Amino acid sequence: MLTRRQFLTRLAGGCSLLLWPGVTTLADGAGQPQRLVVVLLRGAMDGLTAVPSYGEPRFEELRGELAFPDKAQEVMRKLDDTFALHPSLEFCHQLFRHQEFAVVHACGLPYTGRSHFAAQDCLENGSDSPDGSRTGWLNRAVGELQGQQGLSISSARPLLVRGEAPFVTWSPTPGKHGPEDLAHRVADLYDEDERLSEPFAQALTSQQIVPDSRGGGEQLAGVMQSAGRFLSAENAPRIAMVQDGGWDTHARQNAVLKRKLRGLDTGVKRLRATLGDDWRHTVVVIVTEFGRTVGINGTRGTDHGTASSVLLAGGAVRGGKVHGEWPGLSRLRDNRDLIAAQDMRSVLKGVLRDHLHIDTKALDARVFPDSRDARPLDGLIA
Amino acid sequence: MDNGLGRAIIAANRFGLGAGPGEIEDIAHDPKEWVLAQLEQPEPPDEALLGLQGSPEYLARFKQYRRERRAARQQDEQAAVPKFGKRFNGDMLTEIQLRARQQCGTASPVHERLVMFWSNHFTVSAEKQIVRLLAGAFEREAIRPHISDDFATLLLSAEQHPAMLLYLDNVSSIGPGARMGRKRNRRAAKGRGKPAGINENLAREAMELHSLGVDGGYRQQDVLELARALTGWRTRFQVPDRNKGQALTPHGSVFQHHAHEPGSRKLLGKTFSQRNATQGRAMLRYLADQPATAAHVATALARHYVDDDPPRELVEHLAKAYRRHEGRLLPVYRALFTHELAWQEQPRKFRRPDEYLVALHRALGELPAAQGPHWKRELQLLGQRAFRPGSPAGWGDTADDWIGADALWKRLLIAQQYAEQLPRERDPMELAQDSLGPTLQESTAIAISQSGRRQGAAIVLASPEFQWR
Repeated sequence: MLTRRQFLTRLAGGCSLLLWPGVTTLADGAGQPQRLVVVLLRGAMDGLTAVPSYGEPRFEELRGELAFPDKAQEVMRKLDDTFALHPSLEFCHQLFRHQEFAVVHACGLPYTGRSHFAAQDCLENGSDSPDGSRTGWLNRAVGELQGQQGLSISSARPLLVRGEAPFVTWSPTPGKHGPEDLAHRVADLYDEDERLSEPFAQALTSQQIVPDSRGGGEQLAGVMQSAGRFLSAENAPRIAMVQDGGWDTHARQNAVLKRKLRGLDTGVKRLRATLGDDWRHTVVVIVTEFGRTVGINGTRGTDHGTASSVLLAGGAVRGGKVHGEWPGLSRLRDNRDLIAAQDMRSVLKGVLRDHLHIDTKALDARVFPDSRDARPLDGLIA
Repeated sequence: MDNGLGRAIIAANRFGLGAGPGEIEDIAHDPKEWVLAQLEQPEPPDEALLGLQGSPEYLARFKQYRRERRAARQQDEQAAVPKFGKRFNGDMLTEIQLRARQQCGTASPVHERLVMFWSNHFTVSAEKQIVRLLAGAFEREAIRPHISDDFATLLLSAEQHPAMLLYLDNVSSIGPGARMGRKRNRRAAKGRGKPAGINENLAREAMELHSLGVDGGYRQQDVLELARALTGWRTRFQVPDRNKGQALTPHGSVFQHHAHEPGSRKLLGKTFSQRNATQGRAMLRYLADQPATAAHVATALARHYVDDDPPRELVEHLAKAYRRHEGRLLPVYRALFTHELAWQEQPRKFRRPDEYLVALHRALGELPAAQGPHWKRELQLLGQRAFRPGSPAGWGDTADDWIGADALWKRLLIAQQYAEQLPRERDPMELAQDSLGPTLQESTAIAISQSGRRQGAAIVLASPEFQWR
């Protein structure tokens, strides 16, 4: 717990060294330079639009007007002879050329149904089924690290970060005026409440990092920027999650994804800018619950499918590469979906093992329960 | 703490939904009686709330909507038919606002809190469109009328409601030995259509969450047997033909014999050889009779009203009342509200976001509007999505589920906004004394006295003691 003096110092503001309330073993946590940001895209991002396999003979034929999403721009952000990035992912493409952006295509979950909610539960709880666990793998991963605390950019904690390890919450305040004055008036009162003093102090500390008046807004790019501020603040959390909705593109997919992917690209760009030198030690993992049908539907969109792509960005990523197996489009699952060639957990385990140095046994048994068969993917981290 | 006022504030805030202007002086004459009287004779719910459409109408409108969408899709004119949100958002917002008005305005807040408690115990969560539309009606039809009956009645009423059958996928659970199942499986064997089978979701949650509890001594075999018994429990959405299927409830759920797995079943060692829907009903009643269910219900109540980690003595007292009165709930509530352990100043319960909003409105003597998106937006800002806990376990009922840095900050934001609505004739100190009674801390009182009107009111609503009950 915070001492009264620390608490009041915090109120005074302007202190150069921030002490993040609630981290008891600062030395251990602070010694770790590695940063991890998990970006959860809810609604099922179409992996073949984000990362089209343009080099395949059947690609155009199968995808119709989705094959070239942005005729006006007429850009092809090639990654290699098979893959490219969507035109909106301009900054990510630059990162790719600097070996700071990578793709693992055709990733799927142990749950293979097509319900968003069941799939999101499965992705977040890290088990092999939607109701396999009531806590989240990112929380359990933080639990494996000594003295660390996570950050969830959300008001309530999503399943991904629920569990025993401490996760502080923050989200942008809507409107022009935050309650900062009121907060200072009631701060002394909160100091006397033993259950509320620490979270209240965390809220005040958050205001020093990202004041209500200077938040990046409520869109994905804005919250990714804010996440960068937290992760580069001294003694603040090193591991964060942000989430975004609206990826369920059953209709007018080209128009929607042009905008959504541009938001994501701007988010990565702003995150990099706010992280500054810490970008070197950062991995951003961008995941979604499943992919979408390869073919186009009657409303110029796609329906729920199976495998999608995982995107990796950051100075610590072994970038410039499309990792993993690629099943191709010559055979499809149920004659409609991209086949999952990678277990999503293998990708996540590869990152957690090589970036955060969580040992394989803990990953197999606790972080992703009973997941020994999903071997960590090698070579994702530089 | 002054005893009369101290107990009055516990009655109003912990057992009710928050003290309103001048209320605790009245309650202080006999706090216990104030609580118990509401159990016997609750005020009838708001007429506007009761006047909302019922599940059968919502089901029919949803069916019609789906039909139009399908027809439009076949003609590639999908854009001509408005999407679900456009078509039903108004209905859903009205459901949310009128329910909030009921919670903020009722003269029987003790009764209303019990409605909220049971509604959360038997959660339906609005991930599926159809459940989003039915969630309010579920509470009105399945929960509200039965919270003072016996637990078996409440359990049956919840499990048979169309919202629950749809939410926990029972509508697609088809006995492989039933006529419909055999037919589908023959077709599937020839490569046409999907095979039919049992879905255990409802049966599992009926045991794990609704009755016995996770450690209630049942096995996978029991889950399967109950699931088989519940096959054929469907809704008018799957079986729109009025001549087919017998009504399970007046709310649009039906029993469809052709989907029901025939045969006798065995649950927790007892054989059930009834036929049709009678079988599943008998099995659910049997679950309600189990001592594990008594303990599970007692724990949930004690946790909700008294402590995140409820005292064993109180839990056993409630479980005993449940068993002695064969699951009748009024005697269980009486056992709770008359037990000294329920009236202790400590520990306290942290207010859930909706409880916070309700208490704030009651303190100000304000009712939310009958229309509009306010309640939905404010709840979401505070981290709770109306009718959408996201899991069949419902909203968490401990402080750990709700205390967080962002949650506290957003409460301050709400407090600041609502402080402007303090009526002219009331001053902030009055607001503090009316809503907090003797729990008002001296330091808070000083802070209020040093502030202006609006700022003072904000301090009351943002104060730590206002966050607890």
